[in-house]
Amino acid sequence: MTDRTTDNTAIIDATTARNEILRVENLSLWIKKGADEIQILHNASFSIKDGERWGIAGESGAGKSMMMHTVAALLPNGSTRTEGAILYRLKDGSWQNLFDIPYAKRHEFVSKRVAFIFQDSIHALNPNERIRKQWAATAKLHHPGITDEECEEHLLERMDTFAIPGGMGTLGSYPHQLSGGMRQRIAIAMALESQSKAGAYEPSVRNGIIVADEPTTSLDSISQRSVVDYIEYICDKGGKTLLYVSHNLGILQHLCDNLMVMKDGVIIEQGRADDLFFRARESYTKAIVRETLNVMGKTSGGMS
Amino acid sequence: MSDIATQTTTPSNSSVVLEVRGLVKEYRKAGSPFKRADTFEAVSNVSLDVRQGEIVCLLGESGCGKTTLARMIMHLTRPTAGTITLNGCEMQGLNERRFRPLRQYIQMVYQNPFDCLDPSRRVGSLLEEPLKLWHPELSKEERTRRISGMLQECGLDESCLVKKPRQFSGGQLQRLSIARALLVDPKLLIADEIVSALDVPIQNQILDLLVRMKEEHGFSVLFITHDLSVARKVSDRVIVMHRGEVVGFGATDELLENPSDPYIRKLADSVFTFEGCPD
Repeated sequence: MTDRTTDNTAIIDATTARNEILRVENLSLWIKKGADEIQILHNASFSIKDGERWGIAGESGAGKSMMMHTVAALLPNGSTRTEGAILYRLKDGSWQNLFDIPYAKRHEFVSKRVAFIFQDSIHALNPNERIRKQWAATAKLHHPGITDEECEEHLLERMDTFAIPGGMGTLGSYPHQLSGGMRQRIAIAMALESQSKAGAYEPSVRNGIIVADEPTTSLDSISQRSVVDYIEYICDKGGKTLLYVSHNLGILQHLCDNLMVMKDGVIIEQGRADDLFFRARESYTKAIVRETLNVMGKTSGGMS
Repeated sequence: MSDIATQTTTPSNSSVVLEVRGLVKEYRKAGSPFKRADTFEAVSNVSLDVRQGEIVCLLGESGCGKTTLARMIMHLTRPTAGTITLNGCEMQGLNERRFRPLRQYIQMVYQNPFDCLDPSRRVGSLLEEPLKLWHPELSKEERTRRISGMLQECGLDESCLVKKPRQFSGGQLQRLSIARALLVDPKLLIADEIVSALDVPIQNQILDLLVRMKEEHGFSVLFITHDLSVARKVSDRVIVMHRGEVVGFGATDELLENPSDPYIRKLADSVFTFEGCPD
């Protein structure tokens, strides 16, 4: 374990470039269970530069989701304990450790920088409210003082930006009336509301990070393709940094330049995606590459 | 429509286990006292054959009617029109009492194993139940012998008999569901998205298990999935459904490599492929 940690730290030291925007150093996470504590993450270290696209791979229970929830300050304070540092780069170039911010203010700090896309959009949206109402509430939260008319116009503009079809009809629907792919698009647009500029209607501000936690796992292949293409489109258009959690190496190969592989709460290998897919060092990475090739290996002809 | 079912690429000498002809299921949409309710065809005029010992894949996106079709074959939903014949015995129109003797020949494994095994009971009693029901003549020892044999075939051991479902992982539970379905020696196994909730390595193991068990026991499988790579891995023939209708059918490789139908092409193009080198 120790040698892996030093390995990761070395990677960070070598890449202290100017455009780094997020640094995680020796992050460990414990979940309290009665009197005991279960360690979920072991000394995770990585560094993300502006505009990079990272894939996070590993099987269920490897700690991928928990790591992202920790980075996005989404974990409850009372039942977890953390060590290490999560450093966000501020506009003046200095670093802010998330754990130095009082717990109550952490989420606000993170929500300005990170848009979190959850696995299942049906649970991320309120089933009892029409899309218009819940989206407007999010927009008003991030743009205080906006009037109802401006808000409506803002939503239509955003739908246009995010290629969400249907206009007023979509806004007037309840989440269950929309298809899974459409719901996921709306959830993504709402998640990115924090990084929009009201009035100016810019698609995004820079330095925004999108964290996508298996956003397509519950979708069929056509909707899956449309959501993945869509995330790619938003990243291209807005210059977003992407952290994409998935156990589907095909999607990660399509979407990401860099990859980290997790197993039992440890980042066992990280680097350029192609290096990991073709020249992995760790036997576990080789094993998942082999398994994936077995199920979804490229065949000649016909397929994209 | 019957031409769809007869145009199969498997040798015609193997016997047909399941024959579906012109199956329709209509649902009424919500109406009001002032307006007649519209109807919605979830499955329209579907015909298919499943032959002895083959894996037929039913492929389509969410909401295309795959599961409704499976439920009708399982006699859980009453079809609006059409016929279903299992092993030469017509099933539609039978009431539950008359259908019951047929039920053991047709078993289903579901998408989410956590939802279909009673969480409050131990695995031993869950596995014993179908045997008690269908083979009441068996002694306790014989039941135990069959169960442990089946567990071994499915890659599990007897220590799991005293555990409860929540003590297992998703992949292990799916193995248990397959073991439970196969204990009564079905002719047809309907596998409804059985691997979509699992990780890729575990998916592989479950698919390998299914194919191996099919080879050994000789049952037929109607494999429902939306995942093209899974369909390509396990199935001999594939039937593509879209909006309740069959839009394509044929040998898996032929149909998916050179799709003529625009929907099948879209489906084939939507699949993420993967390139890599494990060594």
